[in-house]
Amino acid sequence: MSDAPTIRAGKMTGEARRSTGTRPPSPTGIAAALVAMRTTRVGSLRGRRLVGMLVVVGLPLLVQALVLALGDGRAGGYDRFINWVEGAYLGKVVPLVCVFVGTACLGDEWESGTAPFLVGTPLSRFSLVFGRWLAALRRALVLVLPSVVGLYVLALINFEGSMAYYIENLMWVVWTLTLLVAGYTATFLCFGVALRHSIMASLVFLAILEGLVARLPIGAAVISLGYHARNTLWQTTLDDTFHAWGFDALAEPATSVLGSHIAFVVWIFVFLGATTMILRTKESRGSASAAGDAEGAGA
Amino acid sequence: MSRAKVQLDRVSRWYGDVMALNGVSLTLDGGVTGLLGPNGAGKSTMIRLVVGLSSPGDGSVTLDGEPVRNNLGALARIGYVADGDGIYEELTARRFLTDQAMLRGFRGGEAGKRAEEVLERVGLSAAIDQRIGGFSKGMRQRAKLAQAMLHDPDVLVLDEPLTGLDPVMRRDFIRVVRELGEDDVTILVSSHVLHEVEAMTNRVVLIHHGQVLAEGTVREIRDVLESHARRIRFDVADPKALGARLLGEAGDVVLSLGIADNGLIVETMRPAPLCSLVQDWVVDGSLHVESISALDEDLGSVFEYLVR
Repeated sequence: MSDAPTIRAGKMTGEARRSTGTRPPSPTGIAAALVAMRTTRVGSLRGRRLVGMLVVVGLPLLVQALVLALGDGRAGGYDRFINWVEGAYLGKVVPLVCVFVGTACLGDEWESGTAPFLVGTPLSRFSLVFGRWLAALRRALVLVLPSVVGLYVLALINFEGSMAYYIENLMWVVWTLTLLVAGYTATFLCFGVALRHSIMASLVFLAILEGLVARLPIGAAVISLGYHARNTLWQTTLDDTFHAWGFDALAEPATSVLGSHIAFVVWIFVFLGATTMILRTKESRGSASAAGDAEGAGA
Repeated sequence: MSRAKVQLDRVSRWYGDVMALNGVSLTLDGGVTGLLGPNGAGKSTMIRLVVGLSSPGDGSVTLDGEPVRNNLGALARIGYVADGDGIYEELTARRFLTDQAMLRGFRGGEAGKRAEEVLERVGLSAAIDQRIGGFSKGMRQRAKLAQAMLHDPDVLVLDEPLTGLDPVMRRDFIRVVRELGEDDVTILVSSHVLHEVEAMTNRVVLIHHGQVLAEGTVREIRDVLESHARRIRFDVADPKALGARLLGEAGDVVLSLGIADNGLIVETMRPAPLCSLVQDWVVDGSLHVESISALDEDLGSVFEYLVR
């Protein structure tokens, strides 16, 4: 590709520069967050990662469609849908999608050396973080929610009237998965900025917190997001499939629905706050050569 | 337009055990200042401090008395061209600049219009809807310059901006920088090539091993250069014969002679008359020279000389 016309210096300088020198006020508050959200560009989420995420959200649909076809249309029903939500979405699909999306939406700026274009702008650090979290939330929901609604349709399509009958439960599932996505994306957004191998660290975090701590029979599960999602679904759908692990002996829920919602909100803002603090102190070297420059100084 | 005053006051910066900057004090007050130093001198560290991407370990970096780091008011006045390759490869130039304009406070259509204006100024109108991933190095530099200029900054910081530019682009880039400097924009431009900086400004800061070695005009730097012996290499068929001839006919300008890899290395305080004499011999056909090269015209040797 040839470098066509050269810089036209004169137009940018002198009187012309003064006349065009209109620097608008910097965006603040919600406007700043919305700008940060709209300008989120995550090239790394294309290609293989996108294919991987589509497989993760598409696999339950594919399996359910196959079961439906091979079972002469009989294999399905509300219980099957709930089992999918409990067995696949709460513990696997949602966390995995959120790991990829959350770590990419802010942390990738440092990986790709584009961080100076972001942190050099006059937006408050919290607005940047909040905007990027909104972007991550939107991307993850676009992947997860159509999948779960599609699964609901596939599971109940052959059961006359049941699709409308359980619609309220579907709404609770959608809402709870939204809260879960919000919590996980905030968490992994933070990991993406704070940690070098953020995807691996996020998977280890999931294995420890959701896979181990959430199953401890001593009430420690209340510090996991998975518990609060199950608890919310258990109490709103009255379906024992969601009876939270570790609380089997309790006749009454350990946490109210409101309590679980508060836990989600606190969790989200704790991680967004932590991400903001990290962003304020994080160094932006911009490039490997720049880092080498610094290291070479002492040589 | 008021001049923006950038001040570094006894700034030090460590990376682990490595001291990248050591007690640097410097004031930039309008116009172009060249930051010169060999690779690893601490130029990029200093630049990242000036644009607020790093915190000083000690001392302060201020813009008109206000700290730069995490100061949104200061960040709104600074434009920065980084030296790395990091750029949004998947975006078109238009999308990249529109995004940047929005982050700087331009709204909707205004941001798109501003992006078009600035891309036109840097000569990227023809490629405005092409993906940056397909751009040449020079085109990427132009896109980054456009990004740095789109909010009409009071302070423009350019880290090795001429890298990868073709000669015509270099000439025009240098002209832009000079004219912006004349317009009282405070510009800091780093390079490790003296003549590049000289083309942009007369004011130079020399930095080496994280310390400011010297500040002054390019003339003063050149005076320093001229006060120490230079080594010139002549690649000829018979270096011994050339050495003998030089000692016989120009002994007063030759300090020492040496032979290395079929080349004659001459140390002299007066390179101009020496080269002129050899040139005369080439012209009259009495000598065939394959190449003549100055061995220590680069900044590295100047710095070695200064710190001796």
